[in-house]
Amino acid sequence: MTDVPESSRTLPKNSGIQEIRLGFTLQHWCLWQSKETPFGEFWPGGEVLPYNGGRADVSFFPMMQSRRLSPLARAVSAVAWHSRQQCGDIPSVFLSSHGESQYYFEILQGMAGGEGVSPSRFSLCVHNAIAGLSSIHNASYQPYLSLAGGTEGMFAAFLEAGGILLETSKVLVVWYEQALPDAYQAYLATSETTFALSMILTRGGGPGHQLRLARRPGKGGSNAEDCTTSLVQTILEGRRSAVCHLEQSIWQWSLDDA
Amino acid sequence: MKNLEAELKQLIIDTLELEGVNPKDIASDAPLFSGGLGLDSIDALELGVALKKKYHIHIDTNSAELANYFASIKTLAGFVVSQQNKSTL
Repeated sequence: MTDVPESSRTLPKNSGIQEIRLGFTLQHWCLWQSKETPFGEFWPGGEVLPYNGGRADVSFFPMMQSRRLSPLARAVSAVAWHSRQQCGDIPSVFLSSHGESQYYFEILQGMAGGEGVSPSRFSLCVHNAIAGLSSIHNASYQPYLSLAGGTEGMFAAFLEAGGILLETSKVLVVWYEQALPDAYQAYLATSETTFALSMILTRGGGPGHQLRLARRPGKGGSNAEDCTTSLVQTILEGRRSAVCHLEQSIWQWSLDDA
Repeated sequence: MKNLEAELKQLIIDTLELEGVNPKDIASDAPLFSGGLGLDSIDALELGVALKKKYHIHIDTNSAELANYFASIKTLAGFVVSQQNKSTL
């Protein structure tokens, strides 16, 4: 993902190229990451949760609900909970390329060594487990989706959110990643930190900052995971526009004042 | 047996990640499930794996007596000892 100048925020019209445009109103965002975040010109309308010694604070949950949370699940649960305090019970979309990779690699190593599999670790490795726990934490009766993103990376969550907003007024979106186990790092791009980012999105044109995205077919170079990491960086640096080249598409987006 | 009970209390706290719970908070004859500590079915499975690993015992998951063995620390200690005795016979 790279900066684009203000003047080129709108994609050029190009007949024959199918372009998808999405527009949202960003009502709130919340981030936790496993490193200290120096104060800066962050995006408006959101918050960075305290580093808290490298473990996201989830003391607002009963101990019996929080005890099995991995560091990644703690991060997700914390940002989702803070966002839900702003919007109540709404449908949600969770996206992570690799999810609980540290847990499932540990299980695979254990199985290779002839050890028994921890039932709770196994159940928490399922890709929708974190979304399910968040739903339980908030006593939610609303639907949730858990995505891995595929070739559209983090933008798959925006596509789903756009669809959900055709039927409802608000949606919670949560992206989360952590460093892959060492054995994978030579083959795949990976986040260096554990982080979770949540956004409350409503339909475009409402009161608040406008998040506009455009997708067109194209060949690019960036890895899908790099785009999510870059989004976090963009938010923390207060940059308002960027473009991300994925394997089969180019995504351009901007955050504008209302 | 008292030492084994203390060991099992610590094993439960460590394995089931019961933050803020001390061994002295767990009464040896208090129910582990259905109230008591508030453990659930996943905890029972997790505990079974931990017991097999630590004490090298066999747990017959089809046994009708299984729920009784896992009823409290006291019954669990009795079960571990009986299984260890079996394996040394």
